[in-house]
Amino acid sequence: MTGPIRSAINGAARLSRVRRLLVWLWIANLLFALPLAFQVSASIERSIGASQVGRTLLERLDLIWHTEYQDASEGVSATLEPSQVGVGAFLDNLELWFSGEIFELDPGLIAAGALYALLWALLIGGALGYLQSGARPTLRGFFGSGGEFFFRFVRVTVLMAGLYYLVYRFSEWLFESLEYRTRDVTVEKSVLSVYLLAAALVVLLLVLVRMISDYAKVAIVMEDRRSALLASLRGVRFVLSHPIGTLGVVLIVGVAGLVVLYLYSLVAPGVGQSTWTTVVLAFLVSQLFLIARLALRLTLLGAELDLYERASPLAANADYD
Amino acid sequence: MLRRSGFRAGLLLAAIALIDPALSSAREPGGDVALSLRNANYEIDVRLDPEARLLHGRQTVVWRNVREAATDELWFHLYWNAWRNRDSTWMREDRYRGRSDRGDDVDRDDWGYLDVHSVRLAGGAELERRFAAPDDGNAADRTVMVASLPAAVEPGGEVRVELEWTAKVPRTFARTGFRGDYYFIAHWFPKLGVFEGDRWNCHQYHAATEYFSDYGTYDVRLTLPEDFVVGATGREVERRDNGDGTATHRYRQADVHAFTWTASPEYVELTRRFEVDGLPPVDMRLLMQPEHLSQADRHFNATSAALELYGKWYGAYPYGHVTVVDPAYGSGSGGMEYPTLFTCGTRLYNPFGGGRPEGVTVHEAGHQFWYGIVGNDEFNSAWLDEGLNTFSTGRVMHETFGANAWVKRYFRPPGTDSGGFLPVLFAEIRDPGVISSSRLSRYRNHATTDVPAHPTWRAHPGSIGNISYSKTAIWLATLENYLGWETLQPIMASFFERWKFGHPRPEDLFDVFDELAGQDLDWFFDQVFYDDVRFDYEIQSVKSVAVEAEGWFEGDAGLEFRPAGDEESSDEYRNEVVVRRLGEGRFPVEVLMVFEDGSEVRRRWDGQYRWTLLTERGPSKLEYAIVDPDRVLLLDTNFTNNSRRRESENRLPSVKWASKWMVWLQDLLATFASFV
Ligand SMILES: [Zn+2]
Repeated sequence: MTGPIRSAINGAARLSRVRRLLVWLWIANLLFALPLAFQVSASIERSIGASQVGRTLLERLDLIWHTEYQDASEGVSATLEPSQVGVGAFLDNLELWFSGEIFELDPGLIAAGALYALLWALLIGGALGYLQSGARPTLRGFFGSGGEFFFRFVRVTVLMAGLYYLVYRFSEWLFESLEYRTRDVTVEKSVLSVYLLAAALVVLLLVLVRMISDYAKVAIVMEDRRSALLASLRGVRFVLSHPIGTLGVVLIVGVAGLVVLYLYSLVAPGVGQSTWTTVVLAFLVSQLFLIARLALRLTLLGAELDLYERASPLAANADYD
Repeated sequence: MLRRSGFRAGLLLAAIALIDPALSSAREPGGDVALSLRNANYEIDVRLDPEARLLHGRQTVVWRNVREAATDELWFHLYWNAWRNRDSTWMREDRYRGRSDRGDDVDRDDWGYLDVHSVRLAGGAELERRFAAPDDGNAADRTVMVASLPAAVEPGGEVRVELEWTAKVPRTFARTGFRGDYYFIAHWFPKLGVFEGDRWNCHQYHAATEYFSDYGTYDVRLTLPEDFVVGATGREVERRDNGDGTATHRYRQADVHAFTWTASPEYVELTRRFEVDGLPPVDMRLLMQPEHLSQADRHFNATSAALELYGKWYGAYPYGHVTVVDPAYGSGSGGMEYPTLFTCGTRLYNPFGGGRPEGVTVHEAGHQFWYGIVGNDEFNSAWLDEGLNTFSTGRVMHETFGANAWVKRYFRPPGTDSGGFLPVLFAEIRDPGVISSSRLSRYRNHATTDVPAHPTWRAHPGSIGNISYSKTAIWLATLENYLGWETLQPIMASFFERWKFGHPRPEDLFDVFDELAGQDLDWFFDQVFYDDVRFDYEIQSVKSVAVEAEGWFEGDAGLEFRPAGDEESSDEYRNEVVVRRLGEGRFPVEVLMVFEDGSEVRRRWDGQYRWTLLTERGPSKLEYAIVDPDRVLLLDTNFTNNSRRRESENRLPSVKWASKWMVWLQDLLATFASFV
């Protein structure tokens, strides 16, 4: 297990050399979200109008207002939910990711998500380039390397979309058939145990696809592979031939993510901000969590690069232990 | 005007009750005083074959005609035939309402039926019988059976018939059925409809309807595997081991209109006695799933809260015992009322403060009063029990447990029906009212789906929940706010007292209001019950204008001209508030004006015309105005427009809530990016 731990540490070290990447990616995420947030803000503003409920909403979430707002809203604006307060926002998304219901969201959000994913395919190329070289990032170099890999990354993503689709279909089939097979079980604890095992399997499969996708990109960056398909196959082979290392770094980073989520739950802002200062502060605290999430993502990529570099026979210093 | 039906079945029944010797004084052999007419009495002997999931039943029905007309027929409900095949009216409607308990995949063993082999007069000949479909003419429906008698049963006369039948226990439909070795058996035997003098009230089983029966005595012998723990309507009066691996449990209960039982080897039995000054004691028997034992206190506490508050508000619970059933996981039998027995419904994890299982327990315990003791016709007027009970549940919950925190259940496996396994309680987000925000929303979205006076069994599929439960509870809460609880409580108590062990109609409730409210409320019931009007009042504008002495005025020497002064220095303002009635519904409202110097003025408006202008001169400008500031009119379908500030303050709250949404969106985008 020292391999993955070392790679995870090296991944973090790689990120620390190119810290400004983190800022750039965070700003990209922030700017991308901003227009939609303005749209929702305007929609809330219209709903409140000159109503005294505006005052109430500074103290707490008025659930009656919220249902009135939701009943009257459509599309993206209608996705404001009480659970988005505090740590619930991230649990909601975790559930959406696990269940695949992320693809059943409002079409506007899915379109935004797809666009953002495209943008990410550009950004991550730049990020991988610098994570590998450790050079001081410049915007020109960042987008240069991003542009270089962009189309190959998009093709990898399309290939992976097929795998993701299969995993989600399998997951649905799995849970439906487990529900059927446990239909005479009267103890929730037993059913929950079975479902948790199944969930672990589904998460493992989702992570597996993610790993293949990551190593395909790593292979493209490190070996300048032209074929997305061959790179993906290389990803599959690498993951299968280094199961402990590849899974290990994901596990380490995943656990770190849960720790961060837990820490955030301790400081997560609630519903009571009633001044501009506290509203902005609450927003910034949440941004810290988002930055941490981004940092973990880059750490994982760095760790995967490190692992690949040390393990791949093509790499110069293949001293994988 | 109230539209009233001419036929006063309820009063007739009450009148009969007064003259019926069996009611007023007679004592049963057991020595108990009859609380009801006891005109539909059942002795049932049933054996469960757990391998084949069959019930083999023999029953004797003694029916007395308590009406003023004769009848030569007996109409029976065969409820379980609703799940005999896909052609039943129940299955058709269930498909139509798109809320199938058990949608598409029904295995061979999952279907149910109630097959009657024989109906004969006691010791006599087999009776001719047929199936009827009085509601929709569906020739394939088998949920109503009519037996023809050789001679009419005259008013006051009695008939005794014997039936033999076999029933296939379904995998749960409509809260009855099996899961593993857990059985919940409701509405399971051939059961008489209610003879109303001119006809039998015996509707087919509909996907969204409940039940209606006369009161009587049930004496039931249940033969089951000996390791089964049994719960049933009434008290166990005898248990006999048969020496063949089975045991026979005999349960008996008088003055009820149904008999339900449940059996499972898993149940853990707990008991506690409800004792509160001024109310008769009640032995509470709780049948719990072992994995829920840590929640036993919560079930007892909620049941006690209902017994106490309903008892004090409406009238005492008379049976002395009640069985509280915690159904097996996934059994689908949770949250339902039966005489002296009800099911709750909890989950392995259910944080305290989120309203469950307390809410469902209070609600179903409350049905002992509204449904059990006051036995309205649920086929036609489900709102009479569901609405009154939903309102009462809200009051008990509010008084006992305070505001519910908002709960979201996570980990709902894709493609499954089970709700999330892992709840998260959002302690800061609370529902402070007697009527929850989600209930208000359900009503708002279906305010005009149905007219409540329309028979329930004909109602739109969504209306049971939204009209029978929500709208009724909301108009009752509105009446409480309008009349005061000190007026409403005696009205409901009188209605309860007058109609306990009877079959009230909607008009009977309105009559009690007429008598005791101290004012005519027809205008209200005409709107909320006999119509589907929407209520919505809004403050359209709030203005404060400095009072200026500009223009021509009478002076000492005739008309004098005064030039414009400095508006800012004015020390008097003319404050104007325009209130509008946007809906068709009319209700008298108060308007609260709050001024910048903190002073307040309340004005009343009869709410009749489309709008009104309220003006108030004073030294201070208006800060805001609210129509119906105390939220008396809970039926108002838009509370946001009920208030208006002179200068809007919506920027900061919008940014605040949009920024929270944005954080979620940013994380969502990152989640989308994880697929790259
Ligand atoms: Zn109910």
